Amino acid sequence: MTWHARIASLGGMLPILAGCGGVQSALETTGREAADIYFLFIVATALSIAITLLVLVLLVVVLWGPSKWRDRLGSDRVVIGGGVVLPIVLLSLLLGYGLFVLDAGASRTAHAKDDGITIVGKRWWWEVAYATADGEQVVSANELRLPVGRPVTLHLESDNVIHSFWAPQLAGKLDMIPGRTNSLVVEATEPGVSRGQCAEYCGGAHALMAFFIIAMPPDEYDAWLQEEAAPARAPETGIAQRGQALFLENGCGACHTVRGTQAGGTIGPDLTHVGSRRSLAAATLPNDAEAFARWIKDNQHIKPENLMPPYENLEPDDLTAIAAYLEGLD
Amino acid sequence: MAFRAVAAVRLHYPRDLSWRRALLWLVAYLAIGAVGATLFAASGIYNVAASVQHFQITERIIKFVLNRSVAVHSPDEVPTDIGDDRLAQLGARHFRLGCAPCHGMPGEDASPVMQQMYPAPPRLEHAALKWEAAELAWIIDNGLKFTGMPAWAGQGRMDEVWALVAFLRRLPNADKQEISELAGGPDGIPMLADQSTVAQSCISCHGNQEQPPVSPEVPSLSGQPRAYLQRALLEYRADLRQSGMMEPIAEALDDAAIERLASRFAAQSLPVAQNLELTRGEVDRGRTIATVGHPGGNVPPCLSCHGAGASELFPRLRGLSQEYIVGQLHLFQSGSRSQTAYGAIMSTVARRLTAEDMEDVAAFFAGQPEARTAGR
Repeated sequence: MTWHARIASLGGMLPILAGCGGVQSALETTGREAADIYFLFIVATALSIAITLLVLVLLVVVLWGPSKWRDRLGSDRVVIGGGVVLPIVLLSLLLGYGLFVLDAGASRTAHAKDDGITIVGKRWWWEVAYATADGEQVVSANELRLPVGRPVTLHLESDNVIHSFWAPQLAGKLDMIPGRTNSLVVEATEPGVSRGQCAEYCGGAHALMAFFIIAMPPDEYDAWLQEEAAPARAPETGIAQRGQALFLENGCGACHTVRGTQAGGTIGPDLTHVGSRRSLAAATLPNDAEAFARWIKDNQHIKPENLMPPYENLEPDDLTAIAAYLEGLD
Repeated sequence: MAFRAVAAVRLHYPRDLSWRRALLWLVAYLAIGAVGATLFAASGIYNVAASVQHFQITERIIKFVLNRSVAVHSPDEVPTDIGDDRLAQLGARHFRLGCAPCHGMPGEDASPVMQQMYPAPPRLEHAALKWEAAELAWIIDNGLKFTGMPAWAGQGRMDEVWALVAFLRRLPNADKQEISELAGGPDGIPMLADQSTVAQSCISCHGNQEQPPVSPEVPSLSGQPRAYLQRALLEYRADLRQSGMMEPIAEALDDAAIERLASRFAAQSLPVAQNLELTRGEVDRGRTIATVGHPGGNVPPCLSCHGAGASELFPRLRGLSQEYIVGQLHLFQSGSRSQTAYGAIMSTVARRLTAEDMEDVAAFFAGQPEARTAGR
């Protein structure tokens, strides 16, 4: 391979770096914690590059440099100074800085005054409960809404195995451990949508356990939370009304809550405002009527061994009606 | 020195005896035998007629193989309620419908056509003396090759098989009168072909609003939703729900008959005070599971699908016997009743229940016969 062919092939690898961007990238930060981590990453990387370059330059000098320079490099002072003292100092500084960044979220947690948002890892989805000012819990799922510029404490729990909450644009990841509540403060710095993912292998459908984070201006957020706290909208069209009747008589309410109806189950996600979410099945399917119908009938193929039974007993007409009802729950 | 001598002999042993030649002869004999057997089969001399008996020696060998096979394969454990009268009654009623045509029963001859099978289906008055209960159960469940005895039509339904064994155990010491009573009176079960009396056959085992089912293993049908009863019969008929007792009955029913029967039983109200013995299970714990479920164990409340207001394609559970509910939950759990779309839903839930959960929840439903709405 000639030298220009090598450079060309290196250039061919550049598009791979483009994969580092996007909704789930830790390199495009939209949160204060992630920005701190990003800066740590830049500092550590820059330092590593500088030292690598320094070592390469010195290597060239040692091999081909003038004998006077080579003698100086071989002296005890340079060997002890550059080989022992410098690494100890630099690595200690880096460690201290890293620990400081690591602790930043925790110490902010201790001072946080808000009641926060409780996120529980399920099989395989996220229960998200917002504490309102008057002490109520507004339960939702698979989507995290945040007010820009307001630090929020996330209380991370699990009711089954260990999951890990990771919203790369917002903060570092933190495990969700059964029987324990881990806290993480996040603060969105700009409005927008990003994506998060379970970052600890938690079973067959682990890769399908994701969620969207929607950061919104604080006043919009407050308005949204008020709407989210309201009971479900009553179905208006004929087909949606039929869908609601089918939803209730087929026992969907055994596992799902739709506030304002007799459906009050707690095993599956709360569906009170499911139509307003960006995705279905924990960022696995788009949120549209077709996906609802597919999920109800065929969920065991879409997300194997999830806790919901497959409803293959429902006729296509019935599925369409239930899907219309659920899509209308915004 | 002695050791060395032995070693020397062993070194020469194979060559001296020429085992290769012996092997060659063996192969030659086998080849001749195979060719001979093929020629014999191809000649058509052997008579396969059922009217011609085996040689006595052949018969003995076959029986020896059969006895040994049954003894080795039969299960180790026999249910403790095998002596229960009601189980024997259930067995007797199926026997009259499903077994008597070939085997006959006391006071009744087998069909003359079936008598001409070879081997002829034996009369079973003394079967329980010849075979252990477990052996009888194995034979009924699995059938016997080359005898015409079929395997049990309901896969995974040993519970049904034991009812027949319970009846067979009564036969050696019972007189004709007793047998006739076990099987449902002198007239017994009317033939299914007669559409006007077919409901009598249903009542004979399932009871009606005046009379409880023959055995707690059998569900009461009165007051179940019409759509559910219809679905159950269609699933039996299509071999999607397993039952050696119900499948042949459903097979004999056409769509119109199924609809008529479903409507008839749906219109009845649930019998009050029946043979519900709450000997096991905690009713209060069962009530909790039925009404709010067991969310920590991902168990939804039963009444969401089985209560008033639920789809008519789902059964109502109130007033069903504890034995029936627990038995069906075990079938859902084992996967025997998960072949239909509806069964798959219930199997998912049943797999999350412990044996204790099942007993408790069944105790709760069995204890509330009055709440099932009539006509649903």
